[in-house]
Amino acid sequence: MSKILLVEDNEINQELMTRRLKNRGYEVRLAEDGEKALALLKNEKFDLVLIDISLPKMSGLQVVEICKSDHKLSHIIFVALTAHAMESTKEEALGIGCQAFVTKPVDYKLLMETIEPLLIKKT
Amino acid sequence: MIGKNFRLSIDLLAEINRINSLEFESVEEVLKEFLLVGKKYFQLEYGIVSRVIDDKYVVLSAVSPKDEIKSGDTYELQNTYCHRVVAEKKTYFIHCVSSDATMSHHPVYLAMGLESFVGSPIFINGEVFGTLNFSSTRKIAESSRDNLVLFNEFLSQILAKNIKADLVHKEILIKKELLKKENKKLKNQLRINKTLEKENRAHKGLAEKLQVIAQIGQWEYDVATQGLEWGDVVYQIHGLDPKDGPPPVDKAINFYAPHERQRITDYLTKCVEGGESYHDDFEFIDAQNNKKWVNAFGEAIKDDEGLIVTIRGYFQDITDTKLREKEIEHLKNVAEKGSKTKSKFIASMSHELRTPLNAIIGYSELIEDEIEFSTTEQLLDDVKKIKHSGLYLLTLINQILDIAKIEAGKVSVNTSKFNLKDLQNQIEPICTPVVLKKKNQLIFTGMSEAVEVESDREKMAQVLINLISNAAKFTENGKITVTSRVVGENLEVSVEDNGIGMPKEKLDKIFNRFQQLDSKFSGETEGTGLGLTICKEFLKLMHGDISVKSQEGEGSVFELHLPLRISRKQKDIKVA
Repeated sequence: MSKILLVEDNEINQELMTRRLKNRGYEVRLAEDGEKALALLKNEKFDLVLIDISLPKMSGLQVVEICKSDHKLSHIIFVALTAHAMESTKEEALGIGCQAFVTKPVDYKLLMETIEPLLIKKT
Repeated sequence: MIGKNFRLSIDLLAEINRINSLEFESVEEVLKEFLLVGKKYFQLEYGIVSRVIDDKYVVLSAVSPKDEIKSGDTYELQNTYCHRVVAEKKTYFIHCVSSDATMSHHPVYLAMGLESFVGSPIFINGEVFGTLNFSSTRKIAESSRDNLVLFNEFLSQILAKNIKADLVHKEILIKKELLKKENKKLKNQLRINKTLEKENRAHKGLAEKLQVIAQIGQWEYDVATQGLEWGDVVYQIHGLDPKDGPPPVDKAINFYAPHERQRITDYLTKCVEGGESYHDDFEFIDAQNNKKWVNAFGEAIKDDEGLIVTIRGYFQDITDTKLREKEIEHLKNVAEKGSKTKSKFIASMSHELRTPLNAIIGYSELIEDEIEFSTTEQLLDDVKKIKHSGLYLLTLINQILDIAKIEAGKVSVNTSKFNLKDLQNQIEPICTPVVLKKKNQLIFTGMSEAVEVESDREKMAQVLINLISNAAKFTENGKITVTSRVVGENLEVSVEDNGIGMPKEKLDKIFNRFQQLDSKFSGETEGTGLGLTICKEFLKLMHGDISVKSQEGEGSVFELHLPLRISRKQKDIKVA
């Protein structure tokens, strides 16, 4: 069973996403900001990280950058989530090392189609 | 012989005297008279007065038997008997050409058969002017030589005087004519000059007027003497008196605003040293300390050798134009800012609308997803969240519409008379459930029946409900106190809580739209971020204002100031 870290500050989105992922059989851990996410990533192993780009204190992209520059964390698979459906943001996210990009509000069918192949590839 | 000669002399003199006493229209007539006299006394039938010019012999006047020689006839000098007269500058006499071997082939003899001849030069101003000569086809006695020569020379001299007088007269006439012509020319020139001068004056006058109207002044700077010369308008722009003359160049620079001095100095240096012209706007301060804007132009004037001798230019007061430009710039900025604010508002609005919609759609999908295994409790919980988000969305949309209405000036003030107790009774039941939710107390003080207010009751109620609800959201187990008091013609109402308070940097922003929503959307403290914006706009409509004080961790106080009575006059004022 794959273990996913959800980095999301919006409570409704946290609940919706967690329940959806759990319904699919994934183990889900939650971090409500970038700092907490980094702390969790350093201590636990995750198969995939779903990360919101606009987070308080530290943006999702900053978290990805820090991980990519740390050889212990650089292997982590990141899928970016954002409400800003802008092409430039998407390119920026992919440019710094996110494997995929999903626009909010989340189309769950599309989300599954995006993360499943990444997880299969990993195993 | 002597007696005869003497008699002849006397007769001749009498004839000459007669001629001299006559009035003639032209010198030709005089000459003719002399020739007739000569012919009569010499007994020679041909008489000619000639003018000799270079090698030409021109007949001025002639007497001949058949008038075959006419004035104006021209001969080659060398083909005449006078050739020798002119060459030797003395009288020549022949009594019998045919007996002279050197003369018998002469063209005159061959053509006309003239046997005798006497000719004398006519001297005028020491030069040979022409000749006076008489001739005949008859031979004459050699003995008459002395008399003929003497008389001919005498006649020549008298003729010379007549011709000279005539020449002088003619010369005077010619000179007169020339002077007349010259005079006419001068008069003409003078007339042209006057016209030009008039035009010039008109142009100059116009140019000067234009300069004054356009506030353009001319100036000149002499590179060698460093002397400045200013037009009147230049003095006017500087606020100086033309009587005092222009200041030295370094002082003149100081009329430019301090931050402009380097720029104009650079321009002038480049102009004086490199001949580069300049044209630019500058901030300027005149002698009376008035701030102005000037448009300055300068160019270098070079002499024939390419040396820069003069810098000249013009100077224009463009303060009005600049002020207008600035005004337009300001209006443009305001418009742009307004447009930006609007775009930002639309962007935030769509973001804010998306949040509750996201929840509505998300939970609906979740219910679909989990319907097979979900419990009734779980379903009810999810449906409540959908309902809550829907209600929130409704509030949000209503408030957005309120703001749009206020901005469009479509919200009016509905004034009515009421007392503060009525107002308290209206809002208390609405606020109590929210206040109790976090175990807070709601206390009203000063909301007395005795305080009569003439204002917009609904708007006041809406503002107070909003402030009390806000206080209740950020306070737990605390007190929310609504205090009212009358200060002169004004009513002051405060809504105070002892809740979490706000950081200082947030205070001046909380009346801005969507400010609260910068933070996260959280179930309990949710708000549209438009409530306080609407409160502020309502207070403005009621000719009042709203302010806030807060201490983080200690609570917040919102204070309202508004007139007890909105007069009719005030009511009519539209508040944007």
